[in-house]
Amino acid sequence: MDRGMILFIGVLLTFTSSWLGLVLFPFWQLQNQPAFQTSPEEEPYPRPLQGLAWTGMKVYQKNGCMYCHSQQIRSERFGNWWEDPTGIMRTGGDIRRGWGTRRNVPRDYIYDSPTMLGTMRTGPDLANIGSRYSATWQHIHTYNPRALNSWSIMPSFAFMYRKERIVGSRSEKALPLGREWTVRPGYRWRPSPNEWAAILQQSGDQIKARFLRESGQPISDWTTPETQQQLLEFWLATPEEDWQILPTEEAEALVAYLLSLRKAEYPLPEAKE
Amino acid sequence: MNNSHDDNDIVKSNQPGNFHPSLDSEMSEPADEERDTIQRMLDVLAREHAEPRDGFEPVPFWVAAIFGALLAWGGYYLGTNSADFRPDVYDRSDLRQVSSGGSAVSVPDPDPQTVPELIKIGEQKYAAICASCHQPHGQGNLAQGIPPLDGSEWVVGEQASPARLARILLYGLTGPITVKGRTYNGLMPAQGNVLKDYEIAAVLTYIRNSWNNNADKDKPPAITAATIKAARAIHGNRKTNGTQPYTVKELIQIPTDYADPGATPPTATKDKK
Amino acid sequence: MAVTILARDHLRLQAAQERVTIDRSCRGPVLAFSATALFWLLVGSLLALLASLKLHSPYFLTGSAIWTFGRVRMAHLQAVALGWSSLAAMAACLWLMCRLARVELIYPRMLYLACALWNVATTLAVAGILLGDGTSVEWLDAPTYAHPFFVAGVGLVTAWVVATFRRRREAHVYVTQWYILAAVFWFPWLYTVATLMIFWIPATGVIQPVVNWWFNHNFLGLWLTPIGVGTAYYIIPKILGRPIHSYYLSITGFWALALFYSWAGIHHLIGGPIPAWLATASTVGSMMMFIPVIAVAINHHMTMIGHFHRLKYSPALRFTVFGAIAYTAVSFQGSIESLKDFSEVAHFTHYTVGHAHLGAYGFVAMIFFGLYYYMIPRLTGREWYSSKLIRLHFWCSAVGITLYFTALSIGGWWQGRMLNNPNVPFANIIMYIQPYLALRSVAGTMMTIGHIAFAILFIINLAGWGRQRSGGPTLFAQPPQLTPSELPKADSLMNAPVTQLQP
Repeated sequence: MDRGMILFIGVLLTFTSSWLGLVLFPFWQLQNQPAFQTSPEEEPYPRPLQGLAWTGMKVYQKNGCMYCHSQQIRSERFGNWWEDPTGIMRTGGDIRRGWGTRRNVPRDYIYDSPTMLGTMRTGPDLANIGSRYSATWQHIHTYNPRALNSWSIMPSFAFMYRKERIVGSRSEKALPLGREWTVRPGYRWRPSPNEWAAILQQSGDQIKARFLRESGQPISDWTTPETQQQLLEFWLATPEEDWQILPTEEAEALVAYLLSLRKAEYPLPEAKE
Repeated sequence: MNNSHDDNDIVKSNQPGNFHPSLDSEMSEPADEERDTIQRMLDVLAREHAEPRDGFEPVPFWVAAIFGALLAWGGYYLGTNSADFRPDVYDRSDLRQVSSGGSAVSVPDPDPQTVPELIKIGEQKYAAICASCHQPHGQGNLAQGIPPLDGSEWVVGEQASPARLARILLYGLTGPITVKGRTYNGLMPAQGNVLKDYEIAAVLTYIRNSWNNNADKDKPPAITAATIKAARAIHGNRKTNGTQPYTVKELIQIPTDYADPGATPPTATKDKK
Repeated sequence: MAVTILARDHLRLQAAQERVTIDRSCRGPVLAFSATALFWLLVGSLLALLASLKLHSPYFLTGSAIWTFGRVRMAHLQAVALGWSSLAAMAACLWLMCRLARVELIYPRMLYLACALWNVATTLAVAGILLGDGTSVEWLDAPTYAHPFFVAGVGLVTAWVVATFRRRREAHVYVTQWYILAAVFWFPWLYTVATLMIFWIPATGVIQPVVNWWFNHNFLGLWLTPIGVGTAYYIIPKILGRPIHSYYLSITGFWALALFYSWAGIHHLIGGPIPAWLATASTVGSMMMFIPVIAVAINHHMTMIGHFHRLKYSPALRFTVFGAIAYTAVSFQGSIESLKDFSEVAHFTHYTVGHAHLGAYGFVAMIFFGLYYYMIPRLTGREWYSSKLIRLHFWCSAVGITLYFTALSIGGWWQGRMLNNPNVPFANIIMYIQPYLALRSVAGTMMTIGHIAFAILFIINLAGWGRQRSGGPTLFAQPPQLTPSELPKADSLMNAPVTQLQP
């Protein structure tokens, strides 16, 4: 081992072996997979991302979404092997959680670049998120996930939304959120006792009238803690009068991308379990 | 500790001449200050041990034995778990089939027939999938256009029927819907690809018998896997991936006493909340 | 100098003078690499802390795009993996290669250029990611415009290390040199191939993650690990003044690492949309890693045996031995983790994060800390200012990483069990894992405090505010006077082959 050349040839050969085995051989095996088509009339699957969805993929990429969200559905036999030594019981969590209807295969990703399979599931898998939620849900959840799930630890992406004064009527795109979530975009807001007292002083009667009108609950005594709490919650759930939250182009693109993610439902022949 | 003597510096005895102990020409040139530095470094270095070298203890037999055993195991494992290096075998449960030549044993889905059994399955599915929109107690979310399930006429009241409910879950629902006197305009994602028939029946039975809802009290369940299967069957090619959702207009064309062929007729399902 | 010296002292002085010349020749570049590495360690620690806090306090700094979790996490990885670890690794390569080849560094100015290139690259990477150019390719998140700088930087270092090796005056090639030469050869190849196949000429679909994981695992396995292990192979026998236990085990360990480590990596995609044989091949590669790890562990342990009391005194030794033990632990854990039965649970969870940090921090960073404590006084000619601060650094780092690892291992394991059980609602998993994530922030804070103490020591040393040296080094405690029986046995050393000098 005192000869540099032996060392050089040795490290060259060992590394070449893994390079050939783990990189070049799979490259040769998987590089030229075509999209799948049952007949020439049917549109092929998968299809490359286009337009807004492609822009949205870039937003997803630059904000590192894949560090918490994978995009791969595993076999329905995957997982808890000790409870299921024969693989017959199908304990695989991914499909049974409703994250997709079948496992993913290499062909699902032929148009992805970069291929963001992900390696963490701090959040749920997104391979088939497009079939699970509506655009409105996605916008609210992106704007502030805790407006929907109080337990969520996902960041608020309120910086992708802008708060605007309403000119004329409220925009159709405005997020349907109460003031609890819109007064401080990205955060949860509640008035301090003094602020709340001031608000009640100023427009308490209006709020109460609206509460009675919309909830249909007959309340005569407004002074009990319960009714006061009810009134506050009602007021927080109503939208701000003069302001609206609108998605920026980035947010629109991201949601378009999320809605386009339907990687785990088209029945590919090789994905049969 | 660093003051112990090193006897093994002998190897350096035939140094090239510029390491003579007296300061050689190169080292005597520096200015006084730098010479001080050199002198100090010399002091430090002189107390240092010589550069490390090798001992020549033999490799113990047990270590060699472990290495041999590992190599043997590696060869065996590679041989039995690589499915002839095929690119279309993804999982070790598939490997088992490849090596045994058989196909996976398919186990029939369970088909619970009692209300408590269905509720037990439905409760878990509801928490995992439905609760993030309809909320854990079925109260819905007015701001986001998500109608309540608790006390809804579409779940337990005059608009409810097994056939209608089955369709909402299988194919999804879009467009405005009036629930408890309010209009909601959201999008109900289709669950037909995500949930199995018995699971849809379980979720429906759960929401019809939770909170203030009491549809199947002291009765056999109105909805079982057979109901859902029948609703799936009669539509044949209608896609359950959310691309062909129902609208309320379409839904109310189904009479509430209608039952799909093969499903139990909804005789006892006229119920009050 | 007109003193009569004994022949033995004469030889020791000769050797010492040689070391003076060598250390002086590489002082500038090596200090440049070390200092900038330390800077990135601080940047990386702060980014890590931020990311960690955000995972259990999602409203923390939530308003700005720059500090959103995904970006901070990518920036953290670049700062610590390519900033701190790689720069420190290159400093180690240069200094150890010069010392072991017993030649001065030639044309040191070009290495300032290498250092500058690498720092420009890291700055581009970290700033680029925060400003929205991150690529979401794990470990290769740096924007594509940083790639040429990285390649040029490491290319120069490789050339200098090889040139130094070829000019060697010491005929015997010590085990540390094998590791260093292999690492500086592997890494540029690895980096170039991975960036080419993922960014410049992108491969199709799932081949990208395959190449990606091949790179990720080998970044640790063929770049940081060989240099870390090589450094331990230098520091331990050097401080103890004993030969390394067995040359044969050194050889076994080295070649087994070269052959098997490069095959690991794809097991990180277990269950994913890739052919089964790829994950299987990596599982075998990972399990075979038991061979080099056992060999290195025996070698280090048998060298240390009977001298563990010296961990009480020497900071460099204590950090290095901690790192060497962590290397054994993390490698055993990694091999077991690659088994599919285990991986099915640990996959997609914080368990893997805990494992990665035990490797990158408990092993690699701790060994580099040890190297700093040994190397920097020899380069600057000044001792460490305060043994209290060193002690603070050690305990913060050691307790911090232990807490970090324990919290994430326990939390992550149960997270994985729950993820695999479809009847556990996702909300429950998130709520379950949060206390563990909070503990991770506590551990991260401790480690950051340690790094700040370390940085203070380093700055004082570099600026010359500290104690000039004449007496002994800064130790945790003064060792008792050695009795003659504890002195190194001359005869055991005499049996070593007398190496030849090149003409």
